Amino acid sequence: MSFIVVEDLIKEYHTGEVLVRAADGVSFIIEKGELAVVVGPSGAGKSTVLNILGGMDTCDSGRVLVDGTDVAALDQRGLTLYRRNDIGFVFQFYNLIPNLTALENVELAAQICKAPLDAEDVLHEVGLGQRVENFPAQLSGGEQQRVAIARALAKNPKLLLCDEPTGALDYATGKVVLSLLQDACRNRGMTVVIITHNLALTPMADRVIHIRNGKAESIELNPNPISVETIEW
Amino acid sequence: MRSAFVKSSLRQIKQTLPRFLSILIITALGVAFFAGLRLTGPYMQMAGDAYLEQQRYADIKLVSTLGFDDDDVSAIQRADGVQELSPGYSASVLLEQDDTTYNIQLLSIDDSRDTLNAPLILEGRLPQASGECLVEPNFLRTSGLELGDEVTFRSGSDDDIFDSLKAVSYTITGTAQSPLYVSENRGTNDIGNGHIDAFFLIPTEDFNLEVYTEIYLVTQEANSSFFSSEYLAAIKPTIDALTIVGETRSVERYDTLMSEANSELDEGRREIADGRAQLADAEAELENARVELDDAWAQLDDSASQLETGKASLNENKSAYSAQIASERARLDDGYAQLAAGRSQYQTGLAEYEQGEAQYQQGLQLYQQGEAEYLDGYQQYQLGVTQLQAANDELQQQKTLAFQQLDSQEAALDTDDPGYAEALAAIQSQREALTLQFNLAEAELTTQQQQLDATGLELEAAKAQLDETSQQLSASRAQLDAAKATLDASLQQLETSQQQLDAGKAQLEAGQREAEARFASAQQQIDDGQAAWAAGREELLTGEADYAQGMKEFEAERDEALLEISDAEEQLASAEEDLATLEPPKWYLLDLEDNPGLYGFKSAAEQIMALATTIPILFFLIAALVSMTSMTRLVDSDRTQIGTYKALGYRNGSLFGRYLFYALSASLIGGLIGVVLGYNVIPPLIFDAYGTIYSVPAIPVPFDIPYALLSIGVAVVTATVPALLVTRHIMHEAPAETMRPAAPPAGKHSLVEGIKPLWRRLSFLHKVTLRNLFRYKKRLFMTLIGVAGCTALMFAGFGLHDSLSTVSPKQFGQILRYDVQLDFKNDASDEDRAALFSALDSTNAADSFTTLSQQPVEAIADGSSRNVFLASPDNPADFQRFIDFRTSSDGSPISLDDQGVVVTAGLARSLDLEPGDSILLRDLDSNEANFTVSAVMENYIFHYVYISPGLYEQGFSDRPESNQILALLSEGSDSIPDSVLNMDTVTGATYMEENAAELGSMVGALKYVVWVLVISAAALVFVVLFSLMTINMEERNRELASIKVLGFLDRELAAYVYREAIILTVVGIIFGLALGVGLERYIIATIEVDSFMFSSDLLWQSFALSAILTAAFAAIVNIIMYREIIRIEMVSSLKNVE
Repeated sequence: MSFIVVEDLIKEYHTGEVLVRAADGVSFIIEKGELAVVVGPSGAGKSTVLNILGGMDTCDSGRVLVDGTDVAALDQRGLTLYRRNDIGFVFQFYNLIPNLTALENVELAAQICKAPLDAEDVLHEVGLGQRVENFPAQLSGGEQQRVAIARALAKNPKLLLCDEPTGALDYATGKVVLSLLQDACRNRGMTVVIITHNLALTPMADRVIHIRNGKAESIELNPNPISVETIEW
Repeated sequence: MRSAFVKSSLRQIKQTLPRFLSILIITALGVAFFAGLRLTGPYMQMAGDAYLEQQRYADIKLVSTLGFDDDDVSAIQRADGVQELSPGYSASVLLEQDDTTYNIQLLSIDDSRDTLNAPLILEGRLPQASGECLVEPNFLRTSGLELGDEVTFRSGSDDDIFDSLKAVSYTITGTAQSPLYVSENRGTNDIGNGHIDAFFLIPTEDFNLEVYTEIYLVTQEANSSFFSSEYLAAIKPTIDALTIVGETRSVERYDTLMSEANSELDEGRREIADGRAQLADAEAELENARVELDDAWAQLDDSASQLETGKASLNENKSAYSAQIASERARLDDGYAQLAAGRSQYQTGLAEYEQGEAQYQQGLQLYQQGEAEYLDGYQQYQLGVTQLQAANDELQQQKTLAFQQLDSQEAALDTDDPGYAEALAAIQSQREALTLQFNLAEAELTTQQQQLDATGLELEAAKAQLDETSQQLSASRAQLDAAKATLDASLQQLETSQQQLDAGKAQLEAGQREAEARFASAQQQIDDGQAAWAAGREELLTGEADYAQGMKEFEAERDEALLEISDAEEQLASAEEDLATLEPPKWYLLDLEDNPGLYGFKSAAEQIMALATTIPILFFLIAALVSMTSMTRLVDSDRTQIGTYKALGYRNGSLFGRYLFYALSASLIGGLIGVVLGYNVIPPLIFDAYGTIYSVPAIPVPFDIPYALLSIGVAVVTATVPALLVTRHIMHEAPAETMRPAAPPAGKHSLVEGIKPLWRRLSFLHKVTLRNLFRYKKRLFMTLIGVAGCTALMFAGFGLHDSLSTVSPKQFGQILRYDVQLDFKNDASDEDRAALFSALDSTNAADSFTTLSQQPVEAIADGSSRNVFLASPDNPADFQRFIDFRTSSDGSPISLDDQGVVVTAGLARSLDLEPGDSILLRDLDSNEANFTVSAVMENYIFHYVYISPGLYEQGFSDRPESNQILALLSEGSDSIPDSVLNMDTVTGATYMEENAAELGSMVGALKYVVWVLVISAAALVFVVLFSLMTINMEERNRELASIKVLGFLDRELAAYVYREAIILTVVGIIFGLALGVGLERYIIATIEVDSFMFSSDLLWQSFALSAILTAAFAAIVNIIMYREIIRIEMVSSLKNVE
């Protein structure tokens, strides 16, 4: 059985009188250790799917199996523990705790999980060995995002979910970030899911899932993903 | 567009309803508290004004040390500013009812309707006739008397009660309250225990006083509130004018009194002098009588001795005389015997003579016979005749001689002689014998003649013989004649001696008679003297008894008179002294502030006003801070929207208007609700609470526009101005910038991190918490201020409660340890005292007791004075068991010795006294003495100065007269038996338990204020915490969402938030408690009154309670917020642009 199985995922949002179906029967699988890229236009439901996959949101129907656990069936507490132990998140806007240093931000995450990695080591890995004591406000966007990645990695999660991780970054910085994610997948065998609207990134993925209008339009497998460094966009 | 704007605004309100409501509620609370409490003071004043107005309260009360006469009254009437006056009387009397002595102040009342200081009749009616009275309801409650009952007063001093009253029995016709006595405090006087228990109103006509004791007057200018400073200023000119009148009148009155008194004194002096003179006269009289009596006794004794002498000499004389008489008699008897012998010798001689005669005659006869015989013839005739003739002649001659002799004898007899008759008879018999003899002789001669004639012849013969014989005869004749002559001579001699003897005898007898008569008269005299002596003695004894009686009477009367005189002198002396110390009368002008009740009421109102200026401001400040924070947050959270509107081209004004509307509507609605709530709840609540102390009728609470406008205005300003400021600030930024959310404050190393050892020890999450705390400084301070402020307010409330409620247990439990206080007459005799003490001893009701002297005095230091009680325990060493002398500062024991006086803390504070300071005490008789303060003792109610008897004596040169017993009741007994209380010596008993209860009711009034404070503070702390928490949550939504995404469990997330909240709450509480202590102290300093000191004790319960309550409210808020925390939308929170 696949590491991640998403079946007929439906998610509706009610805003006043308006009903928006953000996910309208999304189905896909991702295997363990894969780097999956989810692409699609804005409002296609990528984030919704990712949020549900990450246990940040619930679905209205469908199944979301992650390593055999039906995330969709978990209650709030189950979801929280799931996020805590199995998921690492990287957001477009980093969402670092502004009041904590880089190290502390990593430690904050590492604190609560079962088998965390050493926070400082992880920061060294992401190339921030010299900036551990810096607060987010003292770091550049790329650095902040690297802290965010370090924070996610330090939890040693089963699944690393990244929502437009380069969306707020310039090209070069974005590349560094992406290569970090790729390295995490390659070196640690971590399953990584990256949401992006940038189709140029697809060659780096093992699996590319196209979402459009709340559905997984197509899923491509890429037997020879290339290194991020070699991708140009 | 306009309607869209309004719609948008309303929608915003709807969307942020909790915030809107929190601003509204906090505004309402602040305004209610502020306006309500603000109005309370003025409301109390208004109610007081209404009451005083209605009862025609007199602005000024005049009392004088010597009362007022009619001249005074008219002088006052003429003074500037005096509109109306009402002279009146008052007197202090005692009333016994059910073994309780009540100290009553009698006031005169006019029955006219528009009288000044009219009583407010609560029940019954005004007194209409003499002997009727109006009482206060409290008196009926405590005494158990009812309307229609009769009471009888007695004097509380040595003065006769009829000196001041015409009648002593009065029927209660009704109950009333008086504007003169709005509080429980009835003041003090100088009788009984000095505390007036109740006032009675009796008709003016029932007073029997020469001068008015007081004058009430209304001034012309006083139109403002009785409790305002304007009022005092308005009556000031009148007071000043009256002061001048008083000074003038004082001199005039003094002169009048002096001259009157002096003439009275002169009169008195004269009377005393008279009395003394009378006494001296009586004494002199008695002394004279004594001297006379003594003289008489001496005379009597004299006469007695004279009598004795007289008796003795009489007896001596008598015996001497008897001896003399006896010898005289013997001599006489001897004489008589000699005489008898002479007579018999004479008789013998005579007989011899007669024998010789006869012989002669015989011889002669014989001769003659012889002659006759001789002459018988011759010369018979011649011779015979011649012879015979011769014989005859001779005989005749003899006869004549004899008779002559007898006659001469007879002639020699003293007719007076008792022997006269005898002698005469003897002479007669002799004469008869002689006559017989002669007759015989003549007859014989005749015979003889015849014989002779016959014998003559014979004799012639015998003539020679005859001649011889004749010669013989002649010789014998001669012989015979010689014998005869001798005989006659001897007879004569005999007769003479007889005569002499008889005369001697007669003389003797006459002398004896005379002597006897003299003796008898002497005896008589002696007897008379004896009788006279006895009579004199009798008389003297009577005189002596009279004297003794007189003496006794005199002594009795003298003692009495002396007593009277000394009394009179004493009186005179004291009158003189009085007169010497008679100062010109001093007028006291008493205004509202001198009336303890009204002053208390005024102070209460001012206290509330003071409370209303400080506490609501703090309250308001917190509320304002919260609404300010809320509004700031609201505008801040809308910054992107503002930016958008601005970018869209909306004008600034309309954007201002949006938030103005929000703030205005919240604060206006809240303010209005607050004003209505505040006005209708707080003033009546507090007024009712004070109603238990001050009998001032309530009035409807007015809707005070200025306070309403002020409080709502301030509320609106504090809500809107920050909103506008923030809005303006945002507007000044470029729209593009505005459209991005404000950057959260950058993370920083907190100060705590500087302390490395500490920081290293902290767990990671604690570090995060600390850093977060310091990151959001505004929130930190807001929360701290809010929590601390509310805690402080609540604590101040509880603390006030403590300060009030701990007074009673401390005052009546710890300091005044005795259970009961018995007052007794300070002029009680030693016997009465001893009787009282032994009665108390024998009842077993009291474990032990002690005595002391207590009197009201004036304590003066640095020019200000306070009325205090001067107490001097008879046995200071033992006194600690009854009253605990301990310092107010640290509770260490104080000893009461001769070093100085111990003053109570309230007095020390009031007069700014410290140990070592000097204090002047002046008693009711104006005796003064300076003392050093040796210690300040803890005490809360009234001012006392404790003094050792020795020091008292040093100061006042007089021993203190004890008049109080303090007793500890024994186990199981709760009162002193009537047998003791009924004793005449005892004037009253006060149980500490009752005092404590009374105090409890007074304290109860302020407790309402306290509860208002506590409840308001509690509400405030709730709203404040809720608002701040909400704001906190909003501001940190993204952060919390991030953490949630990381997989923090709900409780971990909550703990992450709560940890900060808890720390802030705890620190806030700590600051709040500290602040609260200060606030409480400040409030107490503001509201404390002179004679009642609040305890500085703060119970740990108050700390605990205010801390726990604040913590509990914080917990409730946090629990409510828990739902918000766990419901944080991660997706939406993190989606936003940063």
